[in-house]
Parts: sequence; C-alpha cells; structure tokens
Amino acid sequence: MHTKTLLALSDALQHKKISSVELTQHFLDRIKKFDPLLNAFITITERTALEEARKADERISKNKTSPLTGIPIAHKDIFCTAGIKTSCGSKMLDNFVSPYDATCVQKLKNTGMVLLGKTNMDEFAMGSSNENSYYGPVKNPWDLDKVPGGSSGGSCAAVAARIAPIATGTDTGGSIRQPAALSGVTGLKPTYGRVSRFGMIAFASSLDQAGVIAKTAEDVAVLLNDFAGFDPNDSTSADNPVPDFTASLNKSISGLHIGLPKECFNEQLDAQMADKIYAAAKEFEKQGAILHDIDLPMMRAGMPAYYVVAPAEAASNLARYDGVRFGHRCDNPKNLEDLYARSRSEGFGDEVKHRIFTGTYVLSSTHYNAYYIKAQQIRTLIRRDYEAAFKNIDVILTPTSPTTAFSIGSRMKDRIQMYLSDIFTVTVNLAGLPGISIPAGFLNDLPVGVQLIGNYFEESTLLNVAHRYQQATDWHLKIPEKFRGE
Amino acid sequence: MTHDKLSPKTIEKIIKMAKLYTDGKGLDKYADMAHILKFIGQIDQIDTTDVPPMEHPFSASQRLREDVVTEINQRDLYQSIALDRVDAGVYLVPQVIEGEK
Amino acid sequence: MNWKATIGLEVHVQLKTKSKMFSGSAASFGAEPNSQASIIDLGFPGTLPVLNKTAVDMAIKFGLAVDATVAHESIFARKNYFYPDLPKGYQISQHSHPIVQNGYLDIVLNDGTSKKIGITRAHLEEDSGKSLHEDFHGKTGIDLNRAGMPLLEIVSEPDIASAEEAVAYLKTLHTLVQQLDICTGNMQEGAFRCDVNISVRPKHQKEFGTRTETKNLNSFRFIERTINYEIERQTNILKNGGTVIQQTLLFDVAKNETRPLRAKEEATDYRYFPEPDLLPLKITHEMIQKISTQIPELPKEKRERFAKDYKLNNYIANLLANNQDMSSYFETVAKKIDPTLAANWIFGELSAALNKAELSIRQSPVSATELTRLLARIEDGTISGKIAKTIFERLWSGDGTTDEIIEKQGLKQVTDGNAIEKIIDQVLQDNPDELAAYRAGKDRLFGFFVGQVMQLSKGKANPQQVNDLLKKKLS
Repeated sequence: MHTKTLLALSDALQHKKISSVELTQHFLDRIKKFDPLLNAFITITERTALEEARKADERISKNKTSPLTGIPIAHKDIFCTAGIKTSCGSKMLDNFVSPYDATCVQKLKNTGMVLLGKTNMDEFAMGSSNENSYYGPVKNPWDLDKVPGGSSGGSCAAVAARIAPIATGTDTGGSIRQPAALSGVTGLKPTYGRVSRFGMIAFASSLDQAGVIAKTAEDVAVLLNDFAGFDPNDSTSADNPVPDFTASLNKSISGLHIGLPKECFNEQLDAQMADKIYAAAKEFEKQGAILHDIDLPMMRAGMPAYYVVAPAEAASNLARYDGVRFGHRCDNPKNLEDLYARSRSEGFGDEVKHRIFTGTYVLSSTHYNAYYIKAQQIRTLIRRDYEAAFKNIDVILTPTSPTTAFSIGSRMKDRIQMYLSDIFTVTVNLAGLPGISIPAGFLNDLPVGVQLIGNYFEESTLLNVAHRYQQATDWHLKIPEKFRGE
Repeated sequence: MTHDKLSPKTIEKIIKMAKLYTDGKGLDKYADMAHILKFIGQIDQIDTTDVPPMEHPFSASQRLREDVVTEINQRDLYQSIALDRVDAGVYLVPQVIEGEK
Repeated sequence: MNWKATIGLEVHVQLKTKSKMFSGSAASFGAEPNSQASIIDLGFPGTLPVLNKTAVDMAIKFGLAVDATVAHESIFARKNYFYPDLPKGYQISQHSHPIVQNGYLDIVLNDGTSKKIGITRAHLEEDSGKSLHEDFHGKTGIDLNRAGMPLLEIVSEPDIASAEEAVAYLKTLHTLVQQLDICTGNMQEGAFRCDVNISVRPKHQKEFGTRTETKNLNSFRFIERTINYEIERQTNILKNGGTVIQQTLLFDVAKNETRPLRAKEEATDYRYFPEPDLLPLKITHEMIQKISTQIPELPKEKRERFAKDYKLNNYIANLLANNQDMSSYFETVAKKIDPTLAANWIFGELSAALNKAELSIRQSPVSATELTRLLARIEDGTISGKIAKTIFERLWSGDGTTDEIIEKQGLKQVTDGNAIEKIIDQVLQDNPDELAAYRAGKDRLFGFFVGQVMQLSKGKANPQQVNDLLKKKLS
C-alpha cells in the first residue's frame, strides 16, 4: 500500500478497495514502527488523522471527492496548522499552537486529505542537513549514519522510507531539492509566487517557496493541482492560471532543448557524480531531447549573494520572536532588554543566531551598500543569465548537490562547507525560477539527484521531463532496505 | 571591504542590535563570523556597475485590498497561547520607561 | 549677534479608512485592548501584509492637493527596531521612494502675508501599538489595537522660521486633510500629531545648527510653546558659547519645558531595506486622473476665489478658506448680501457671540439664512445697523425671526420724512440754548441734534434722512 502512487491510492479509495481510515492507519503504523529510526516527525497527529480519515470516507461514500480525498500527507513543521503545534524546528516555537491554517494547508484540507503529522526540519529552515533542529537530527533512510539533507529533511526521509505517501516542504536555497536528492525522492520547488506563502513561517521572504516531496513526478503533479494557486492574502502570490499539471506529463520530449551549464560541470565536480548526471542527460537524449552546453557565468556569485540576502531578510523576519505575544519567554526577565536578549538567545539555536548576526551586519547602515545592494545587483545579473539561457533552451540540467549524503556531524564544524551543499540550487531561488530534483542513480549505495530548472511558471515542462525520465528508469522506485517490509 | 577583521566591539554592537546579547556572554560564539563575512565578501569581485538591484523576483505591481473590515475579535484565541503574560487583555512586559524607544 | 531658527515638522496623519493598512482589522478608535488586533497586526508567524487601496487613494489625493509629484513607483521598506508595541520588530514604512514627493503649502500669517512652505515628502506607514504604563503592578501593558493603523507621514522642508509659522502651517494642513476627507483631524485621539525638529544658527551662517527633535505633540498650543521654549533655550546656549546636543526631547506640559527623553543617546540604526513581502507600488496615470476628480475645492483655491469674487482682503479670505463651516456660512449670506457687510458681521457680532457661548458655527442659534434676512433689512433701509445688533441679540435668544422681531418691537426704521421732521421740530423746540449757540456758529452741535433725534425716535429714524432734514432745518 505504501509503495503505490497517489493516483493508484486514489483509485483504490474511490473503488472502496480500501478505506481512508485503513490507509491512514497503515501509515500511522509505519510511522510508529519506523520513525524512531529516522526522527522524521516532530508531531504525529494520530487522533485528528483518524477523524479526518473518517470524514474522508464519508465524502467518498457520497461521491463528493477530489483525487486527493482520503490520502494521507505530512506537512513540514513550517506550515501553520490550526490547533496543532507548529514549531519550525525551534525551541522558540516549541509552545506555539497555531490559531490558523496556512493557505496551502487549508487548500489540501478542503480536498479531504488527511494530515499524518508535522515533519522535522532545520530550525527556521536554516540548514542543509537537518542537524539544526531543536528536535534532533533526522537520519537518512539509506544510511542511518548519514544526513537526509535539509532543511526539509523530515519530509524527504518520510517519503523515502514510505512512512508518508507524500509530503510538503519549503525551499529557500535548495531546502526541497537538496534533501530530495540526498534521500532519493522527487522534490519540486515551484516558481516564486506559485504557491501561497501565507501561513508558511518566513525565513527569507523573497526566496521562500513551498513545494512538494513525493515518490514520483506524477504524484507531485497531482498534489500541485490543488496546492498551487493565487492567494489574495499573499501580496507576492501570482494571479496566473494554474494548469492541470497531470495533463502534459506524457508529452514527448523529442526536440526539447536541454542546457548543461559549464559552470556546474567543471573540474570541481566529483567525477563519479558527473558520470551519473551525464548518464541522466543521455537518457533525455535517447528520448529525442537535444543537449547544449550553456554558460551561466554568475553561478559562482550565487552562494555569497545568497548568504547576504537570505540572512538579511531572516534577521528582520525573526525579530518578531521577542517573548511578548507568543513563543519562548525567559524566566523572570529583569527588564525589557533582558526579556529580549534572554528569550531570543535561549529560544534560537546556533545556526539561526549566526544568520541573524550576518543579516544584522549586512543591513547595518555602514555595510548596506557593499553587501545588501551589491547582492541584489548580483541577483539581477543571475536573472539575466537565466533569461538569456531560456531564449534558446527549455530546461537546464545540473547535479542537485555536489555530493551524496554526508555523515551526521561531519560538516557541523565548517559552516561554509555546509553552505556549499546548495551551490547548484541557490541561484534558482535568487532568480525565482522553478526547479525539481529527481533520483538519478546511486553512488556507494547513496542516492544521487539530478536537478532540472525551468523558465518562470513552467512547472508543467519540468514535471513532463521528469515524468518521462521516470517512465524510462526505476531509480525513484527503489526503497531503502530497512523500510521495505510492512 | 574590511570583512576579515571583526573586532569584539563590532561583534558586541551587532548582537546588541539583534537583541541576542546577554551580559557579555556568548561573544566568543561569534568568533567564526569573520570567515562568513569573508565568504560573502566575495561578491565584491563581481562588477555590478550600472546594474540595478533586483526589486523583487516576482515582477508585478503591489496588489491592493479593498478597504473592508474582515476580521472579528479573536483576542481570547490569540492570547490562549500566552496566558502567562496577559492581564485584562493586554500583553505584559517588564516596565518600560516612557518614550524609551 | 542675530539668531535664526529653522523648524522642520513631521506630521503623522491617521488616514480615515475603515480597516487597517495591511489587514482587515477595524480601524476605529477606543475599542477594548487588543480586540482589534488580528494575527497580522500581532505579527504571528507566517502572516503577510496586503495593502489597503483606500489608504493609497488618500495619499494620492493628498499629493495632488499639495501640488506634489505622485510617484509612479514607490517602495515599502522595513524600519527595524525592537519595542514591545512594535509586534513584528519592524515597521512597514517607505524610505527612499515615498509615494508623495516635492509639494508645498501656502500659509497666511497674522499680518496677512503669505508664505510658501515646502513639503519634502509624504509616505505611507503603519502605526505602532500603545504601551500602557499604569495599573499593571509595575509592568507595562501592551495594547496592539493601534498597531497597523494607516498613517501618512508628511515631512516639511526647513522653511519654517517661527512658532507662528509652524502653527499656521499645521492649522492649514489640519484643515486640508479634513477637507480632503482623509483624516478625522481629532488631535485628542492622536489622529493628527507632530514631531518638531528645531535648530538655531547665527543669521549669516549657511549651515543649519544642531537640531533637537520633540516627539508626539498633539496640540497646537503645546507645539507653539515647545518651539518658543526650544528656540530660546538653544539661542541661550549658543549665545554663551555652548553647543546644542542633538537629542530627542519630550515636552513637559506641567513644567512648560522640554527635557531629554533619555540620559544618553546612541544613534539608532534602523537597517532599512525594501519590504520583501510587498511588491513595488505602481500608480498609473489613470488612477491619478480618477482621484483628481474627487478633490474638493482646496483652501488655496478658495482663498483666491474669495479674494477675487468677493473682494475680501487676503487675511479674511484665508480665515474663511481654512474653515469649511465658516466659509459655507459666509457663502450662503454673501449670495444675497454685500460680501464685506457679511464678513464684518460674521467675524464681528457672530464670532463674538459664538466665542462667548463656546459654540462652533455649526451650532450657531442664528442660521446663515436668518443672518441674511437681518442684513437684508439693513440693506433695504428697514433698520439701521445699530438696531440690527439689538435684533441679532433677540435672534440669538430665539425670540423669533428678524421680521417678527422688527414687527413685534416696532423697530422698523422711520423713513417717513414728515414723521422725522416732527421729531426734529420737537428736538429744536426742547433745546433752545443749543439752537442759539449753533446758529451763533458752534457747528459742532450738529451731532448733538442728530443724537437727540435718534434718541427720541428710539433709534428708528433713518440716520441719513435725519442728517439731510436737520441740515435743511438749521440752514
């Protein structure tokens, strides 16, 4: 049951081969059995899940359904869920029960989906390994000594271990695609503005985007149909038509132009990794796509520019955690300054505090032009690079991350080494483009991900290309050994 | 750019501004910030003459909301997660001296 | 040495919208603490702002009214600082690209001269909440109903040189925002409040002196007192060779003095940057065009029209133009009555009576229509100006209409020549000595006879006729 695609589950539910309660119980049982190994969940909503499943079964019996009715899902703990703890992986929000649902949570609730629980993540989505969680690190299902990637590590590990059929994530610099690659699942970051940010706890407002983590591109498309769309409560939400993302999945990719940026395939890329990515490119070529070498000269400026812009916005976004209206408050504050400083330094973890430091520094009046404005100028250059590239090609192909999953603890001492896991993903966020990571083989028994980048609002193209790849390969069907049993 | 130097005084100033400073404690935690600043300082090498800063990745105009009241009083719900720090509907903080902004 | 003061004013005008700047919370005043604070106003995690259209329209309207440039693209910025009544830890404001730029306001001073005061900019921003310092057992209470209320901050050029000019500017602005219907103008409720920047320098020095800023003044009287006090204080320091310290002050109403807000002041670094939760605000030509049709006659235009059409002097024209109620009262009367006579009565008898009774012109017991009737009786010679004053008192006490009072009290002017002649004859007969003296050449006694005739007629004799007939009799 846990290996079935969303459409197969939907079919089973509609034809009453299984009830939503049974399906939900099945996944709850798997979570109980396997999550102690993974630590993928912060909160498991067993009671409400079964209630929601019962309601879904009622809807199914009355034929008032959507393809998603009765299907369980896990939300990254960054999405506000009414009446349920929403921690954002932080001690700061350990006591925060949201009074409202995020717009995208509400939209999926309306379809009759069942919430299994809230998944673990790097604190405030700041991290590439899921080691920065107040609730402890998440383990990679392929090797429990390795990280699953981050920040949506809980969602990716849960889908990879098949303890959730599908999950949501967020991506600010690679936080869906990088853990999807390291965990061997499919993860889509849509175009900035495609999915509402209302109710998604902000890390960096101009970069954050909600997306989907699933077993297959087809599953992503099915969920995205209801997950995406305009939201009047988000000023940065796009009022663009939402196509049926499943409609074009099977379209032929013959004649499609795929660009391989020279800047990603240089001597710095591990040769074995490069082979895997080229092999994926070859598969597209086999199906009639035309490969091109392209230039994205600003790629190398992406990392430092990202680590200016994201912390700047984060420092400001995280100023609201002051111990006054919600969140952690220190004991017996002596005065106002003490209330602020202790609540914040106790409530935030190390990485978060470091990024607040960077952000405060680059926004301070003496450094603003040299760092913040400069980084925003680089964003313009990055966008121009992509715009130029998309004049001649349809999709860009890169490795998702330079390496496979690394050992827990191995990069915690060296922040910059950690940051570089996102070297191929951050420019996509800086430009606001859509990107997807799909499983493309294994290196030393650890999954490798290939990233496809599309033009603005071209998620359909990405899903089509990814789906065609998955029709021809079976990397996405592999399940880590420990989690294969019932 | 002077990113490879980061004096304890600057560190103190920044963490005070960010309200993370507690009585001189934890200053040493930020010692490696010099590396980070050096790392992000690489942007200095890019020529951005006459390049406009990106205003926003989503190029559209700000949408406007009709001026209608859509909210109802939900104070009790919103304050239910802060019962230890509210009294008679107001949030309590340590005494603030008038105008100390 | 002569000294010169420069004053800059930052006025916070609370816009008269139904809902807040960035949320659908009610924007009314005086509700239970935190009952009008939504998750957006409270800065809950995940919440986002959406801009109120009416607030934008109002800012455009203001920009057009002060001949300013309305920016085709303006940008919201975050002003970052920590304070318990600032829920998000930043205020959404506008920094480098405000919606309104480079306008001006004409003010008229007490001596009737006009002065142009530049308006550097006006920008949209959200208000903060309120800190309540009493009744919480040594703690401070935070009420966030005001958080997110829409403000237009209007910043003047350093063109203002005295308290008189500052108050004239503020009163003109205060009237303007009410006439534009973008602000209640209620200063007690803080809907119109002001920060005052003051510096003093030697008259011939080019650069400005060091300035102080006095925050949050919400009465014209306090503003005037603050400015006068502060100019004197700074001048005295400079005279004695001292230096003025740049600082933020509070005006202590009880002591009638300014004093520093804090012991030591560190320059605040607000770390402004473009608000990434909002997009650049683009204002089209069509939007501006549409709003320009909604602008009522502005005080400046009204003043010019009054001076031209009614031949009023600049000072009176300005007083009327800056008081909507008074000018509409005036225009009702001046439609039928000589405008100078109308203005003299409105600023004379009527204003005196209103002041004494502490009433506004809207509450006047004598309506514009009634005053028109009264003044018409002067113009058609039915009554004299003096009698009119008596009738006005009756009208004020509600003793009936002008004509009823004239009728009832027999106040109608005597214009019958024969009747007046009879009275004159009586007066001449009663005062033989004065008559003899006049005839002997004491011309000054003419006035005495006029007075006697008027007295005998109980003021009803037409003064012109009395003059003419008396001259004839005495010649």
